[in-house]
Amino acid sequence: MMYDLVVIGGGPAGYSAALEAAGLGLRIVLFEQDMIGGTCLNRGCVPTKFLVHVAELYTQMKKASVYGICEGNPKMDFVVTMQRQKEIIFQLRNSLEQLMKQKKIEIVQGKAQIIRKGMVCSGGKNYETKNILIATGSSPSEPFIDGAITSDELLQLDYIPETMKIIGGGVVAVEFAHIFNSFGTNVIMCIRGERILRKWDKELAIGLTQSMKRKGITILSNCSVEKMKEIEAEVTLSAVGRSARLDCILEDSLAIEFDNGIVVDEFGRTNISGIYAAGDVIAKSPQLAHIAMEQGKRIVRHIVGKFLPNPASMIECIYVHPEIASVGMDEAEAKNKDIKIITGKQTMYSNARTLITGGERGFIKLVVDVESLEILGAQLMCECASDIAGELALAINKKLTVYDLAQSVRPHPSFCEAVTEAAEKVLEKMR
Amino acid sequence: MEELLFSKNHTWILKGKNESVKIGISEYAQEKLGAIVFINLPEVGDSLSMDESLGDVESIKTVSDIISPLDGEVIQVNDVLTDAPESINLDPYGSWLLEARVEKVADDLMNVSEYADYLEQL
Repeated sequence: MMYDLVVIGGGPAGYSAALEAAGLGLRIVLFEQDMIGGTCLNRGCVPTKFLVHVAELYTQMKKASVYGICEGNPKMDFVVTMQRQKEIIFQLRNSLEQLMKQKKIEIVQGKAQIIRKGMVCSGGKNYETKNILIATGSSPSEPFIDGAITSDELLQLDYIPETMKIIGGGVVAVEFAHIFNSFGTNVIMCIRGERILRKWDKELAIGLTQSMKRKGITILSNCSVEKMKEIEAEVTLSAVGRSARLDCILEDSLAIEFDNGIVVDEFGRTNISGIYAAGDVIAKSPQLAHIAMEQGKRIVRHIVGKFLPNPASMIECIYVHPEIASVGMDEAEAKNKDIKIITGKQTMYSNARTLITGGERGFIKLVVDVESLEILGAQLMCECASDIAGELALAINKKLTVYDLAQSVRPHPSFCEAVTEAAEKVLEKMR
Repeated sequence: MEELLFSKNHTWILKGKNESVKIGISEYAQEKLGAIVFINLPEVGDSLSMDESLGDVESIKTVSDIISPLDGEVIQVNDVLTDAPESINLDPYGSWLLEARVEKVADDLMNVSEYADYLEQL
């Protein structure tokens, strides 16, 4: 039987491509050697966001007396927490598998190997196909400190450690620091550079640093490996990045171009025709589930000759409290590209919803092109930042201007009212 | 105080050695802002342009751009303020924001008594 598409990997890139392909009537088979849902559902976004929610709930409960709710001191039972986490993941995975079955997507449990262009082998059986999508994802990079565990193992913990040392200052590191600090763990972050989130907008990084320090998280910057090793902690988390996972799926003779990930063009094509790659496995991947999903769908559209326009803006989120999101361009990027910009920043102190919910310091900042007045980017540090980012991404993709944003009516009271105010700040500066 | 020079945008500069100056915000500015909670400063190596924003300062009331009184380059940033921005409220003339290598300063900087007269007119 000739398939239209073989998908290797059942994470966000793989299952999104499979669902898109099924909707377009393609004959497909998807191989997954572990669990459907990939890192995101089983060891990444979903379990960590569950823990972020628990952390938030626990923090809110401890502050509940401020709202007149007085019912003793809440206590964590982490075994129950982790059991609930497993139930939610199981439920979501089950729903996804059901959906794929409904769409008549053939799922094969097992490792797949591309033996040549148009031919994949799994469990001793060959599958002939017109197209192959490699969506095998990534795994945490090996710790360089003895005894350190990765995020995969940390998510299997069934107790709350007294002390935790976190090696790394990226998104994974700050999210776990936030979670375990909320649970009462004494968290020490060790970073090699000057500041956390070095790839992020400076103000977001410094704002989060300030917030974390105030919550009692220790951040040791410019930390040598020797110093990192010296610090005693019950648990050491290594959060030093993720590496593309190929798991012997490629025959060397295929010579697919690889540079810390599979090299692809804007349509997800590798250097071998008929072989595509998407998600964490590709070179320079932002390692974001929503981007992987979009890439998967884009590839399927390319296969059937219906091209999707390129999304103009990248959305990145950090699930700490308050949430952080960055969409499109920040000030530094605009400066590097010699684009003249004007910014408008609205803080959240005067935002009614923020005060009601006991929110912390936060802001929404818009980056606007001085000439066209189009929205180029936005940085957010506020409650529900990841949700508000969607509106701003649409504005960027549709080339809306700061006037469009200012004139749009938003609910009152709401967190997103600050978008209106930030847009008005830009207009004020222009007067 | 006597050695400080003030801009109409309520920043102060203090001349140091080798054409460098320290920049801060005035007592008047901190009082108008109220409780300062965050300060957003440039990085070492960034260039400063006269009459343009060099960063911003957030208080619980508002967020305000800090307007550069000079052309130059940042050579040092007062990192203490990142952790303790409220120091500016407590000691605005001791809490310098950054040190810059100067290319040109504004022509209309005022000494302390001229700045006091200027504030009277506001």
